[in-house]
Amino acid sequence: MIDYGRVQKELVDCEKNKDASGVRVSPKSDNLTRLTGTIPGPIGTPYEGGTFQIDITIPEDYPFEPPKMQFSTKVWHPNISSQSGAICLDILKDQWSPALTLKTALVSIQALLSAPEPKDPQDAVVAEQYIKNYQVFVSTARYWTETFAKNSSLAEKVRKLVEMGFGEAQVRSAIESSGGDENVALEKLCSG
Amino acid sequence: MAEQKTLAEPMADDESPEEISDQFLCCVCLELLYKPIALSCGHLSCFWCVHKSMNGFRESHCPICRYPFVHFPSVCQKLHFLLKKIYPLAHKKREEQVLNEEQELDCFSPQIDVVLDEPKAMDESVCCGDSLNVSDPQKVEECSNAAKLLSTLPSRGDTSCIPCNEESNVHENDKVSTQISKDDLLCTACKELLVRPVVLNCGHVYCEGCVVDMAEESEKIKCQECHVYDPRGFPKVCLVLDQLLEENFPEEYNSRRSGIQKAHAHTSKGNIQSFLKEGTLPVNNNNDMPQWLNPKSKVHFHAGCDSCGVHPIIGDRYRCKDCKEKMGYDLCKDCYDTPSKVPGRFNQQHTPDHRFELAEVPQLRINLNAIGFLLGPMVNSIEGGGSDDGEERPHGSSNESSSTE
Repeated sequence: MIDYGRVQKELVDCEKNKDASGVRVSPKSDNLTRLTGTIPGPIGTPYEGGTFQIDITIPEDYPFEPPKMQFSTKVWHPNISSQSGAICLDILKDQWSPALTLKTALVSIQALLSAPEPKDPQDAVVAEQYIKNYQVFVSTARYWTETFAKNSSLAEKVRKLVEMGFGEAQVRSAIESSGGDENVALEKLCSG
Repeated sequence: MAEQKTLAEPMADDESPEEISDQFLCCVCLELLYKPIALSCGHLSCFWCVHKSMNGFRESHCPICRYPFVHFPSVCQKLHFLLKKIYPLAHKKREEQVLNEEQELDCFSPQIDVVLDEPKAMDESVCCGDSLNVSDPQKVEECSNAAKLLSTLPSRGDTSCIPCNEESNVHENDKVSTQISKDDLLCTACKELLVRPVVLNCGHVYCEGCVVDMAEESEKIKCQECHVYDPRGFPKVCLVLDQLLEENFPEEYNSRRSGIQKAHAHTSKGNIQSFLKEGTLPVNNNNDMPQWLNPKSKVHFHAGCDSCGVHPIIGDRYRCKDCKEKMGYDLCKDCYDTPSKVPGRFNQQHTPDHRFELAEVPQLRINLNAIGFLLGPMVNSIEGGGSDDGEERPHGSSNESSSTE
């Protein structure tokens, strides 16, 4: 039995402190078992300026079991799989404690972005690059942040879709009705 | 502290109108501490929250500081009733909520409210008998009776929780009952205001200094209230209680503390250090191999002693043959050998005339079957009435082969 009361409390608390922590959690579905976490890339890292989304699944025994978390935004980091977004972090595994929360876990992930542990890698390719060729690592991570973790501006979205051959007015209304998500807008445009 | 406002207001929605101070929120469920337990590191959590976060295979760790512990302490009743006074509405809500969960699971926490809090209940419908030492057969019904009452009560607005509360504890217009009085926070030993309170395994609270004095005589701390030894080391000060004392009785607290510091300056330090032993499992703790993996260590996974609270039981485990509760009633060897008067941790109706049997050690096989095996029944009964030679009898099981290698 999931303790929904606790998850609900956590969401409220997270919402209250979102300005201080920068970390947000919002439900994906009504039953609070699937959530989305959002963390800003830490300042002074190649992830600065990016907004990273994390898929959260609340297990049956939560909070006695750690929440399952993985990046849905692609990220270039030694402890995060560049393929699947899987995170290598002890508190999400054996070092979990029921006194930790979704917010503290997300803050820890944010700290992991600032302080990679290449000796305990999740993604061996990234870790090797980090150790052997740090400058290349930094520029790759920065490029990934630019490409995957930044919301492009409205003008850019419009330009892209117009380039695909749709009319500008049509594109603007599609983007507006899809809440700014260019992929959804594209689907709308394609389906008619 | 007492953020009570006009309590006569009926509760409009599900939210409790009481603003609960963060220090009294359980770190696990994030709600008002209910039936709080103080671990040996001094941190607090609810009865069920501690129980659920315990590791069935090896030592457990405090959710807050990860300090290891192996004993499941008893509820700190002093704090429980304090919280009930300070936050009557939130407490009531928690009471209903927890009781509902317990009924679903058919497994109950100690029913301290029914037994102790309403001594007037004797002539009421919820007859709760005399004492905590449960020997009344009627008490089996008690929890469910209490539950029925709770659920049939006109839920909100009506503040008298259980009928017996009527006169003494009416929450409405009385500011007095919502304020903490010094009498609620006295040390059992020195009969004065608690200073740097420590909570023993039995849930009773003493000044740190008084416990040091108690321990000096016998190496072990024996509770003066229930006469049970604390099987752990020297517990650390419960800082939440300490803060509560300091905030509510600043003058007396500070004068008491400075006096005590003088008196104990040269004696207490060394003692406290030498008594800090909690967290090491009682047997074999120098072994490199995790104890629960060692087939010789006789770890009874997920089984705790109902007397001292050790969890899991390592070594001989005696299981009550007469307790009907799903939870069963278990004792570790030490507690079996020294008959204790402590009732079950889960409100079992255990009485001294119940018979025991030696429980067999569950086998942990490191393969996929292990999971299925652990979910299955872990106790196979052995005849022998719990006598010591029960151990020597042929068990006819794989237990023999592994323990003799």
